[in-house]
Parts: sequence; C-alpha cells; structure tokens
Amino acid sequence: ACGDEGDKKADANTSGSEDGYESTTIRLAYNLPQDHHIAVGIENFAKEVVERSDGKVNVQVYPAGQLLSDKDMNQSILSGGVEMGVNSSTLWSSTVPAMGVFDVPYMFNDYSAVGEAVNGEFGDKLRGAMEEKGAKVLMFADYGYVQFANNKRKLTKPEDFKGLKIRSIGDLPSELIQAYGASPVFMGGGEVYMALQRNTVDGATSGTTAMLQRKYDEVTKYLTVNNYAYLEFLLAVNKDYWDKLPEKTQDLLTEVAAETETWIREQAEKEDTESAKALEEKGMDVYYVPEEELDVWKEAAAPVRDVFIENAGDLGKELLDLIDKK
Amino acid sequence: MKKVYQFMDLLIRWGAYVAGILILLTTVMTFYEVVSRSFFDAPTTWATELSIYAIIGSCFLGSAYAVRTYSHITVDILINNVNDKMKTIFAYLTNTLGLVFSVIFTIYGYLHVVKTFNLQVTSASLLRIPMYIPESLLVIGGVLLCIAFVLQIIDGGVHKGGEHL
Amino acid sequence: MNLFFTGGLGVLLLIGLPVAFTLSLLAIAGMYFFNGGTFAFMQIPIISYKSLDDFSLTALPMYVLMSQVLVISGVGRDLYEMASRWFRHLPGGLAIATLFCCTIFSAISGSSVATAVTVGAIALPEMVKRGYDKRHVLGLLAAGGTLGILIPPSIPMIIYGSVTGESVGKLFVAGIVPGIILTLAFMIFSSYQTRHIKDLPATWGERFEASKKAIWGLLLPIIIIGGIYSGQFTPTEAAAVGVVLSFLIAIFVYRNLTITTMKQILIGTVKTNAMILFIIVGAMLLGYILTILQIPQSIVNFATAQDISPWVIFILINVVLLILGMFLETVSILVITLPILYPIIMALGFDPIWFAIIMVINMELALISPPVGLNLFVLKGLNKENTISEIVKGVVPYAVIMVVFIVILSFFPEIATGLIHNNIK
Ligand code: NA
Ligand code: NA
Repeated sequence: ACGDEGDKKADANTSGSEDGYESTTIRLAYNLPQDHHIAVGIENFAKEVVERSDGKVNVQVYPAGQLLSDKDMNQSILSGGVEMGVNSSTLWSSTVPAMGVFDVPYMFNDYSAVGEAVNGEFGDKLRGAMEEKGAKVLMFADYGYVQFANNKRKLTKPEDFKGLKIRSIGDLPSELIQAYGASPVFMGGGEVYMALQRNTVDGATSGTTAMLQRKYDEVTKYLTVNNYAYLEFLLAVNKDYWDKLPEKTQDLLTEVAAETETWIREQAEKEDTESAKALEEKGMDVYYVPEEELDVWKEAAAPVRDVFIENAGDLGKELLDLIDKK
Repeated sequence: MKKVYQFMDLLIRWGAYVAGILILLTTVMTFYEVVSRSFFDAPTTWATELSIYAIIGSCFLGSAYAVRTYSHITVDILINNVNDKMKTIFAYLTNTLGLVFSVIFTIYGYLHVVKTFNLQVTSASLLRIPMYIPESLLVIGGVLLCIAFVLQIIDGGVHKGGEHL
Repeated sequence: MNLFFTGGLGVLLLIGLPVAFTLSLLAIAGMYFFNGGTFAFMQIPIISYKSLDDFSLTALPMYVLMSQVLVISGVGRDLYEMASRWFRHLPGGLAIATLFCCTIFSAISGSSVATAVTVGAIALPEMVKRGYDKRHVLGLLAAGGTLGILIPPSIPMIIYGSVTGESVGKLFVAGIVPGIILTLAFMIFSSYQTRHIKDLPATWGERFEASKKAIWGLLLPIIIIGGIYSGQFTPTEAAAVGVVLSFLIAIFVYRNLTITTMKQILIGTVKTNAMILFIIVGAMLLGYILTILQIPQSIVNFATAQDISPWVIFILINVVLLILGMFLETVSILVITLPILYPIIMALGFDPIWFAIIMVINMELALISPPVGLNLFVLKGLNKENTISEIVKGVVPYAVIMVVFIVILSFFPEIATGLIHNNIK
C-alpha cells in the first residue's frame, strides 16, 4: 500500500515538459558540520544540479543534522521521507553488511586505490547490494583515514594498546580495539570530549579532520597515524524515486555526482595531511607508523577480517578478494 | 464486558510495571558499567546500548498508564472555566483525538517494524541486535495507548479513570 | 500554514488534549496536509524512535527515580531541615539555599529538566511547609533548573560545538561567569521576593544536630561531583550512581523502604518519565514536520535577510529564538537554526563564543516559556494541584531577569569571553 502512495507522490512532484528538465524537488539531508569537506562538496553538488537544470531539478538541502541524524538517516531514505541523504558506510553496514568492508582494517593503502575500487567491480557489487535494499548509491564521498588518539602513552606497536579504554564508533572498529588488547567503550557522542578530558576513557578513534574540529588537541596527548580504515560516506537516493526520474535528470545527477566525488576525494587527502599537521602544531605528540612496520599492525588485526566475513557472507569475501588481487 | 474492561486495565498496569522494571534495569546496567570500567578496567560492550532500549521501552510502555492516571500534562486554563457539559464534550473530543493519534502511531509503527524485519537491519554495534526488537516496543506501547483511550471514552467525559495503583 | 500550526496548537491544548499528544497529532496533521498525505506517516515511527535513541536521555528517568527515593525515605526532608536551621534567620534564606542546590545540581547533571525534577521534588513540599508562597517556589524552581544548561557541563553547548565546530571546552569556560552572575541575580531577586519569611535563628546545637542527621544526604552530591570531576563516571552515568547510593541510604540508614513504598516510587517514576519523554517525542515529531516544510528556516532567513544594522538583526534573531522557544524543544531549535544562524553571526562580525552564550540563555527561556516549556511541565507533574498558569506567573520575573541579562551581555561581551581570551591560548 505504501508503495502505491509513493507513486502518487512522485507523480505529483514531477510535471512534464517537452524540452529541458522535468521539474522535481529533491530533499537532501546530511549530518556533518557545514565546513566539513564532504558537506562543502554536497552543497556544491546541490547548487550545480539546480543551476544546470535551470532550477527545474530543485535540490533542497537540510544541513548538519537539521532534519535527520546519522541514526535515522538510512530508514528515512529507504522509506522515502527524504529523497536523498548522506550517511557513513559504517551505519549502512547495519542494513547492508557488505558495507562494513570499509571498516576492515588496512584495506586501502592510498587514496587513488579507493577511487579505482569504488568505480570498478568492487563498487558495482556494493551498489548492487544497496539497491536490493532500496537505495541507489549516487556517490562515494571520502571522509579519509581514521586514527587513534589517547592520553596514556605513545602507541608505537599493537601491544601498546593493552589495557586502554577507547571510545569506539561502530562494530568493526570495536573488534579491532579488542584485537589489539584494548577495550572499546560506548558512550554518547556529546560526552566524549569531557570523558577524554577527565580520563573516563583513555582514548578515542576518529579521522584527524574530525579530531581537529572537535578539539581533541585540547584533551588528548598522543596521536597514532596508522591509517587503519578509510571511512566512506554515501550519497544515496531512494530507489523508487530514482526509477521514476526521467533519464535526462538521472544523467545530470550522475554526472554532477561523479565530478563532486572526485573533488571530495582530493579534499580528503589534503585535509588528512593538513589536519594531522595542525594537531601536531597544537601540541599533540604525533607518531606516524612507518610503512615497513605496518605488517605487524595488519597481522594483529586479522581477527577483524574474519568477523567481517562472518557478517557479510560470500559477498564480503568477494569484496575482500577483489582488493587483495591488487 | 466488565471483565474485558478490567483485563484491559490490567494490561495497561502491567505495561507500567514493565516500564518501571526497565528503569531499574537501566540503573543497574549503568552502575555495573561504572564499577566494571572504573575499578576492574573492564568496560562492557552492552550496558550503554541496552540502557537506551530500556529507556525507549519505559516511555512507550508507561504512556498508556500515564493516560489512565491523568499524568500527561494538560493545559487546564479553559477546562477549569467551562461548565460540566462543555467539560464532558471536551473530554470525549480529546480522548477521540488521542485515539486517532494512537491508531495511526500503532499502524505505522507496525508497518515500520515489518520493514525493518524484512530488511534485516541490525544495530551498528558489537551486539548487532536486530532492530525490529527494540522498535516493537513502539508498537506494543501504541496498542496500550489505543486501549487506554478506548477505556477513557467508555468512562465518559468525567475523570472516572482516577488514580490506579 | 504557520496559522495552521499555531492555531491548531492553541485549540488542541485549550480543549485539554495532553501536550504530548497535541504536539504529535499536530505533526501528523501537518504530514497529512502538507507533506504527501499518508505516505509521510512512515516517518512517524522513525522520528519517534530517534527522539529517545540517545544515551544521555537515560539520565532523566534515573534522576526522577533518585528524587522519589530521596523524598520518600526522608533524606530530602532532613537536608531541608538542616538548610532551614542554618539559613532561616536570613530573609528568604531557604530560597537562596534552594537556588544553591539548583546550581550545584545543574553543574553536575547538565540537564535543566533533571535539575527541576530532582530539586523540585524535594524542595517544593518542604518550602511550602515552611511558609513560602507556592507560586514563588515554583517560579524559582522552574528558573533555577534552567541554570543547568548555562553552567557547564551543558548539553546545548555540546550541540552548538558539534554543529558549528567551535571548541566545547571554550564554550564551557565561557558559561562559568554568566552562570554565576545569573545565579546571583536569581538569588538576590528570590530573597527579595520572599524577604518577609524570616525566623528566629536556630542555636548552634540545633544546627549541628540537623547537620548530623543530614550527613548521608550531603554525602550524595559529594560522591557524585567527586566522581565526575575525577573522571570515574560521566554526568549521565552519575545518575545511576546517585540512584544506587540513595537506595543504599534508604535501606541501610533510614531503614524505611518497604515493598509498598518501593512500588509507589516505581509507579511515580514511570508516570513522570513517560510524561516527559512523550513530550520530547511529540516535540521532535513537530520539529521534523516544521523543518521539512522549511518553516523555522524561512522565519530565520526573513529576519536576517533585512538590510539593516547588525545589531537590529541581532535583536531580530533574539525575537525569533524567543518565538521558536515557545513552541519547540531546545535540542530541535539548536539543530534547526544553527546551520543558518552561525554563518550569519560570523558574517556580521560577532564573536561565536559570545553568541553561544546568548543562544543558551535563549534556550533557558525556551524551557520556561509557555505553551511548550519542559521545566513548567516537570513542575506541574510533581503535584497535581500545581497549575500551569500558577507556575508561569511565578517564573515571569526570572524570565525578565534573563532578558535583561542578554541585554547586559550584549553591551559587555567580556562577561562571557573574558576568561577565554585571557587564559586560553
Ligand atoms: Na550544567
Ligand atoms: Na517554551
């Protein structure tokens, strides 16, 4: 019954015209701070689409969690509450387990490898899995690598994690924290800053851009750059809505999305490097894990891979194989 | 009929007891987390998450009881200044509106739970709880709310529901 | 459309539909008429679930539970007897003591509603018993509770930080001096308002006797504050520690906890908890539909798009916040307006930290402004005989103090930013 009503609604929103674009309104929500590079990219995407369609394809942006938080974003996209939304691959993995592949430790060694993968067979498989659930992936927006910050000691090898209490995000990062001998701690996002300040937890994991934004330098001493996972954010469209769009509109959206994706990827690399440097300048003791030592870190993280395969099944395995082949 | 009425009221009261137990459980789990983390360096992987589910449950399961005991905040400026006949009319009207909300809330809550079940959505945590389980609390609470408003309508326009314990 | 929502809200509330269901039903009607009919109803469970899907909310029922235990066991009574014997000879002595409790509790919990419900449950009966006008007590409790979000830690400041990228640490520091000044202003006013209540001073013997009796009650805040500041637990977790401690005191010291009182405590907690949380659900549903229809956004945009001096825009922003504060819940207001307001504030050349404090004081006003003011509802929930209009009348002078304070802060931004610019690099 709901699907039928969805049809009616889409019909009401789109009215035909011979040449040019059919007019339609796309509501797009995201939940990142407005000055984050993904947010900047998404805002640009919206502006470009409106301009190139002469205002016919109207993208109405709801920024910075104004409408939806990361927790209700996916369901809202899948049920058509909004037509488009940006959310992390980690949160999508609770609906599409294969999306957890980005959280598998040390999958991608460099930024260009990610771009190649998501635009090839690897990306196609993920897009297929998402479409089965009712969401079409329009863009893989790179957040960048994630690292560990803590207050206890310089983490130069996995054994150094032993006994630490680290605030975690999502399931696979938690598995990694456990694999390294530390304990994941779960607490509300709002309490992390204070918890680090008062040593309720010893450390936390996040991208360096977010660490800089959330002022981790004020409350943590050590930063270990081991690039253990590469966070992705997905711009996803409700599939029913997408299928009803005229091809011309679909092409426009795909084209602008592809341009934005490339731009965001370049920014991710720039931001990662600059923010790590900025954290160092603000007084954090930054340790870059040398290439030749990475094998030790990878080995210790092996159990996490198994957990991922257990969750994501054959598709998960295929995805891992695709990356291993490279 | 009287038996059915009483049984329905009992259901609502059970909802409240379960809600109370959920609040107690939240306390125990959170306290355990503090002790375990602070004194034994062993944070749990479940206390925070289960506490959130318990509190969601405590709200929706307890709401019907709050309706029956007139514990939901009501603005009383006008109600206190109209005659009994108007009061009765307002009571029927508001309880019907409450029922309308509860029915919509329950139906769409149910559709949502079915959808979550079919999509096999789990929580994004180590526990990977199937989300339809905590989401079902909304539906159960919604059903209790429907019952509560029906009973209120049966009671008529006066505050006959009274205090129950 | 604006008329539909404001009119609908007024009518539904006046005919006696509970606030929680008024907000929810209005949201549903808005979805039906302006957002694609029944298709939009699929969002109801999603938004309802999300409104409570937050660990920091778990503190609320636990603080409600704690206050019930303290009231029923008699710990609260003993605490007030002690405060009374020390301060009753001063004009409005107990009012000052209560505000002091609000301040301390605010500093701990970070939640205004938790402060109002916990301190309120204990203070209201004890103060009325000692001759204070109920309206005055309700007013000072409703207002005193709001200090919880200005004195750090503060949830709205954390939201401000996470939306805008400003340092939460700096925001916390910026809240200290304004928090103290506002507390003092409240204290001065309330002691003036209740100056006629003055008793003979108690003897030192009486004072120490009451203090000895209240020692267990005093231990509670000490352990909680100590635990938070030493990092043993977070402010949210502190609520659980508080509940366990108050149970232990009730069982082993006061020895008056029976199965019957236990049942009474739990049922009381369930009612208050469901009432508050369902209002939050309703406010979130309404916030969702208003946001998706771009209503608050267009109001803010209209107010700030005028070609006038920055200070006039600033005044308009405050007026808009005041109006939104009447209808929406504070978290919603922050996440809806900040993405629009913050860039404007920066473009106008205002200090973002200072503006955060202005914003938080506006949120304090939102908590006590009818028709939708959580602190008012919490106090109404404490006792069936309290009426909303009584509470509103009591709180009006405090609201005036807050508005005056916003004006003062606008002329002397250093009150908020002084500590930061001098001490933090
Ligand atoms: Na506070
Ligand atoms: Na208000």
